Amino acid sequence: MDNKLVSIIFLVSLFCTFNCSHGSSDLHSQEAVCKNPDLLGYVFARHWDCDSFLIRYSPYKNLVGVLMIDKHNNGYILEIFNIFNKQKVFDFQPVTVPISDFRLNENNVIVSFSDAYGMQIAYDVYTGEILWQTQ
Amino acid sequence: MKGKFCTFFISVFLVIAAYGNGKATKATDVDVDEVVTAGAQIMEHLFCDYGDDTFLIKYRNDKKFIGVLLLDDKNVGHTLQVFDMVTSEKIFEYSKADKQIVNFQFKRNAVIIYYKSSLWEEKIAYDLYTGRVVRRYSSWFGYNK
Repeated sequence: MDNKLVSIIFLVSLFCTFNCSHGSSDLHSQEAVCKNPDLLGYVFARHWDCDSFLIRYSPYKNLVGVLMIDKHNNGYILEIFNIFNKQKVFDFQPVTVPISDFRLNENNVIVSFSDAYGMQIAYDVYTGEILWQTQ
Repeated sequence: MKGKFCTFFISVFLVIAAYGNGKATKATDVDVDEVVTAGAQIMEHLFCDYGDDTFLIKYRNDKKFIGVLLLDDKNVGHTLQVFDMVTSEKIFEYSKADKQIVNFQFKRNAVIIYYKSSLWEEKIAYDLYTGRVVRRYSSWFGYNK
């Protein structure tokens, strides 16, 4: 009987510990996301001539990507920042084919281009290395 | 006499030109720091409320208004909010579950919203201050992005 009680208490405390730590981590990420107006202000100021931006976060909220879009709806600069240290980790300016969209993962970005084939290239945001690309 | 007429017309022309030029508001007339700070603060609030969304941001040409389209994880626009850059107040909001917004643009004191449609291009202009429909545009060849 005592053993059962101890087991139940142990399981309940284990569950609570996991839940609390998981929750606080989420809160920490959310707080970091909310508290970066200076980062966006920096982007807006540096690209003052740009009137249109697409902003996406990575699922873990560790990265934020900003795509600068021109009057013809073409993305011409993609910048990715680490939310926690506010450092720019990736910068990409296409030469010929404009960017139509991008998606962020934990350490990489999938860039979609506005060509006839809907070409996509995945880059490692920290090294700039091409991970894969569609033909 | 002829010279006086010419001088008169030229001066009238110059006065009109100067007046017209002075009335136009350009992005260069606004305070960069003010606009940048206001834009970043508006976005800060939106990040807190819609942390999982993607944001398509557009300024009006003179940077007096900023429009933010909220897109879900499937890239579907569900809410458009427009803010005054001077007061940072929300002046316009559009959100309807049955319509998917794909794009928007400012035109004078109106915002034109582009909806997803397979058969024809569907876009509606709304007055920013009253929220009323100003104009409906429709033409074949759908706006699909």
